[in-house]
Amino acid sequence: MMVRALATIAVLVVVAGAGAQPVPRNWSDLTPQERARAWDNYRRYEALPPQRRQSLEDRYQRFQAMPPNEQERLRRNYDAYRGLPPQQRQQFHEKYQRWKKQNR
Amino acid sequence: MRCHTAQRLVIAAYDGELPSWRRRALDRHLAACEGCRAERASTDGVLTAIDTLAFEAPMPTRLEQNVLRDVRKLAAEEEQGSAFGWLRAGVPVLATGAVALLAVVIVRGIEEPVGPTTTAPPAHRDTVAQVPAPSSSARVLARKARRVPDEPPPALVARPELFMDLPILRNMEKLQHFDAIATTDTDDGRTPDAGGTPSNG
Repeated sequence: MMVRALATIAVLVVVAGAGAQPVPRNWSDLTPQERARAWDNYRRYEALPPQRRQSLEDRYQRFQAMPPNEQERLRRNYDAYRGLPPQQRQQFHEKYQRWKKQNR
Repeated sequence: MRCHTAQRLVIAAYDGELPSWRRRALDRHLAACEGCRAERASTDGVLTAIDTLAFEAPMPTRLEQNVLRDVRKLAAEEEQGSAFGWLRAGVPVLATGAVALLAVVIVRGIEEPVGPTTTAPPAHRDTVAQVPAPSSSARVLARKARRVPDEPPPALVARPELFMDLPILRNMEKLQHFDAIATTDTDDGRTPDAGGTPSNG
């Protein structure tokens, strides 16, 4: 009985830990470099048409709702994507277009 | 479906974000509406062009070296400038100190004609000398940070993470299906290239 109770508690703790959302960072928490990056991206965002902005807004909500390990996986994939040489990145984009057609 | 709704959904369809029933409705509308088909073709063209833009262009070595040399030169000039600036600032301080010293000597000379005169050191000079000059790297950082306005827009302050993660959001579908995309065959049947080690979980 005792063992079962402890196991339940352990499972609950693990589940709660895995699903815990990271606390959003405030502007004041950012380093000067992070602020500069955010500012650059803000200006790019402001230049986008409203529909595109709305689309990014929707994605932001979905990204925020993802578990931390999924967010981390996307960040890792982004680092890998960004690290591709231009030619390989172009090739990846072509594959992406093809993959999209296949999955529609 | 109305044209307005269809055109609103075209971007979401491009990103593969529409549920299948919505997608079918859009496809039906596009099949019947030439105007929306043209709009969609135009949007697809623009979005494809945006997606293929490089985030960071590779910098030619020569350009990089020139920029670094200019930065070092600028930093050295600023270093010199700050030294002369200190001197320029120091002259009035020294003059004030000398006048104060003279005044003390004169006043003491009047009040205490007998005994040794004490000279008060100019307090300002010590204070100025103790202020450390900022390092070059700190100045470069500060210069970078200066690009951000003192009062950033409320939308930026409210959700800085949205803007920090913007490149990820722009490529979200690609990143979510990174491995599947990487192993997709290309049109000419070339061997799939995994292109990195990220995982799809």
